[in-house]
Amino acid sequence: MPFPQKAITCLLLCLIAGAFHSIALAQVDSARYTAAGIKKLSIDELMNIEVTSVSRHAEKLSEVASAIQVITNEDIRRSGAKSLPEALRLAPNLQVAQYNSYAWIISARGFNNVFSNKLLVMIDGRTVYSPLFAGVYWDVQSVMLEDVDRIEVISGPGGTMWGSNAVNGVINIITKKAKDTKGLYLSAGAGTYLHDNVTARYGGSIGKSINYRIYGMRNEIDPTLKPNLQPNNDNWNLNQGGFRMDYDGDGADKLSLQGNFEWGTEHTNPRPSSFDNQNATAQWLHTFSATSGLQVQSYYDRTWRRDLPSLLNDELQTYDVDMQHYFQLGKKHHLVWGAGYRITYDNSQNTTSFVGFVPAIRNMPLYNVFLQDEIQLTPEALKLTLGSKLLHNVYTGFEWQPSARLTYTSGQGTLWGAVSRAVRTPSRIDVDYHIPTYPVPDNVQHVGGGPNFVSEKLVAFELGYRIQPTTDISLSAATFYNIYQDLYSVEAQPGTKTYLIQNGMQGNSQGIELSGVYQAFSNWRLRGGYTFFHKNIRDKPGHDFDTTYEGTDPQHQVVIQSMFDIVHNLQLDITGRYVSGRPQSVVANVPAVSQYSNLDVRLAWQVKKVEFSITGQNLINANHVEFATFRIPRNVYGQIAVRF
Amino acid sequence: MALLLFAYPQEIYAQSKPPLEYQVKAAFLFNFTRFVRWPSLGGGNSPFVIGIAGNDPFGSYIDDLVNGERMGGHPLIVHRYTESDDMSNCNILFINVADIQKLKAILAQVQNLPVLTVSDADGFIKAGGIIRFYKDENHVKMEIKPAAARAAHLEVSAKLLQIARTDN
Repeated sequence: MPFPQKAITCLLLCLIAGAFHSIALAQVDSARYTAAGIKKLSIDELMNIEVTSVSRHAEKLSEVASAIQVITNEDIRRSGAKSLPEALRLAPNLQVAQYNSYAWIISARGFNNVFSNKLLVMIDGRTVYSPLFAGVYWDVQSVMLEDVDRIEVISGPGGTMWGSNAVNGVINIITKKAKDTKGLYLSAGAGTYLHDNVTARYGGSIGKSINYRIYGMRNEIDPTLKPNLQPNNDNWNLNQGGFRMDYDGDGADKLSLQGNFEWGTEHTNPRPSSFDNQNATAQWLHTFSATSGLQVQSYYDRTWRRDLPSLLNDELQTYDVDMQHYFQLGKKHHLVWGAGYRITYDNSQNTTSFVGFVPAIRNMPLYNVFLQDEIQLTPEALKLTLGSKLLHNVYTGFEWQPSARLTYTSGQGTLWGAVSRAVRTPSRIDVDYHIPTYPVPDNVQHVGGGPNFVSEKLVAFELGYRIQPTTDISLSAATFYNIYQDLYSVEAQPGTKTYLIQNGMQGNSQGIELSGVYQAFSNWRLRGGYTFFHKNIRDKPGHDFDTTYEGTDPQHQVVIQSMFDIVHNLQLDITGRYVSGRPQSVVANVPAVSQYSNLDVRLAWQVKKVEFSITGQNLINANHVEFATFRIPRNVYGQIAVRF
Repeated sequence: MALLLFAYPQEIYAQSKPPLEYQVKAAFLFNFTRFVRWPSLGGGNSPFVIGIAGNDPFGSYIDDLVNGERMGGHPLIVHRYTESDDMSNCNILFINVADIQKLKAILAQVQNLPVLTVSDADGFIKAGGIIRFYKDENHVKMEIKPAAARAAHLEVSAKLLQIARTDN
């Protein structure tokens, strides 16, 4: 049992947590609205076309060649979700497990463990994947949900467009443009587990071309429960504020500037931990012609965690600049190429010698170039997309992430297939992690980092079908077969008690993701999906590590959301979900978890500009376990929101 | 009979694409066939006519768009009218004239007939039209007058009413 200690440390440290390019939805330009193409757009999609800015638009969802799910602002609001992880529960292709009051474990296509390290997450183009812990700190990564335009969730590799660590999926959280959040919004809520929540935003304009908004919010969350039903001293609070300013003079240039700051305190043992974050992002979009444009983006992000006061403080600073240029070559080729540079300064202050990062300070430059060509093989029907990203990181040097996607569109349906390679490049926790932090002889048990750790690699085969048989129904099915090489392990060097982080495992996974949206009546909308997942992980010859470390994934998962307008100003919304059981993992020190079903119900009444709502979350049981041991309590909260 | 009335030779419109705004409006006109119910569409293979009165902003784009499409069993065709034509035989009529008096005269021609009248003109709804396109923050939006639709014996789907601004 060499690792309980380490595992516990991981659990504590990896207060789990987690992207630039509006996904996805790859860029297309107006010149491509052939008469045959445009008439396939739904009436809502037609309304959303920006008719004077012709540079980019979202590709029609039913024709995207990947397993993408979109969670809209309305889906979020009507689910009653009060935090980003709760909103992500609405994506049937994500596995979301709440660990305690402030820590969440979120992954796509399995590997749902304390290090959910194969999912890339971006908020308005800013990567929030931590190069320290290889994951996302979901507690620090918060947005004002009222102002979220949509969340695009792609399961499957996105390395070609989005970069490293987009191995099993990409989440793009896209907030509304400032012009879409004009006016005053105020809300206040309180409940049995959501202690209280206050939000305020004001949006306005300066002249014709500049729109802005400023916002502030505060959340206070109560503790979860220990197995003996005593409070688990993990209550916490989050305070956040920020602004966004957009310039759009109806000309060739658009500018966007935003900044956010947040801070909070979490109750941990023996003393509270705290964090704060400041970030600023600037985006410039220039349109050369109907078929060509340039996007340049830059951001700065600083995260300070005073975690586990007895163990570790960490300051992480990131500077990033990235550009993309798209243009048409001949009639059949739509090219996008780009380049980016990111430098991350990490300063981890080991306050104990028991565990920590060695060296304490590390600078991590990362640069990349990518090229993608979308080739229209036959008019309308057959499209081939080829591309690759080449990146250079401080640990393993050059890595490449190519992909090939073929799309066949016929009538209302789109059949797509893809082969992609993606890598998870090492983070500090893979290379610099030491227990203890001082040199120890080989005959004393210790962990000496991962001096030879290389990137984890995936080759993924995907096949999917999307269809919109009528204007009211859209359905999607995606299947995959993934082959993983060089997965993480921690093993003792032969004849010693020196444990090194290595790439000792390999394996494969398979799954099916079904999803759909059904507008049953104009006042009743249903959406949801089912995911099946299975994986086989094994040790490479000559290696020995507990394979359950890579996650004890549930095999089956179902999400169904119903949004019903009883009358025009009275809404009844129900979200149900089922997650099958998970086996135990000795090495990660997590016990087996039983299957569970749960229900969220929201009732909202609109009186002119005021909305009263009452929401019950996790209603079926008084409390339940989603991962490991802590019990998540039922939450019933009331809220008043005013929109002027 | 409408087939006989093609006033302009096709070549004039060939090749060129209208501005995106009118590409979108053309697609909307096509979409209306799915979101509006007409009381009767005549027998057999009689065509379903999308008419354009006044200047044609779409060119051949809209012809390409409806080419091969059917509404029920009725093939969709686009027909361009001159002022003196009888417009009562069309099903959707896009009116693109600047002069409000001329616009009113065209509306009067199809009054109480099952013709879905559509225009960009500012005073269109007030003049008795059914659907008006307007631009809002770079998007094409629409305004619908349900009472005018009812007077024309047209049933507009809830879905369309939901996304449009209604003028009761």
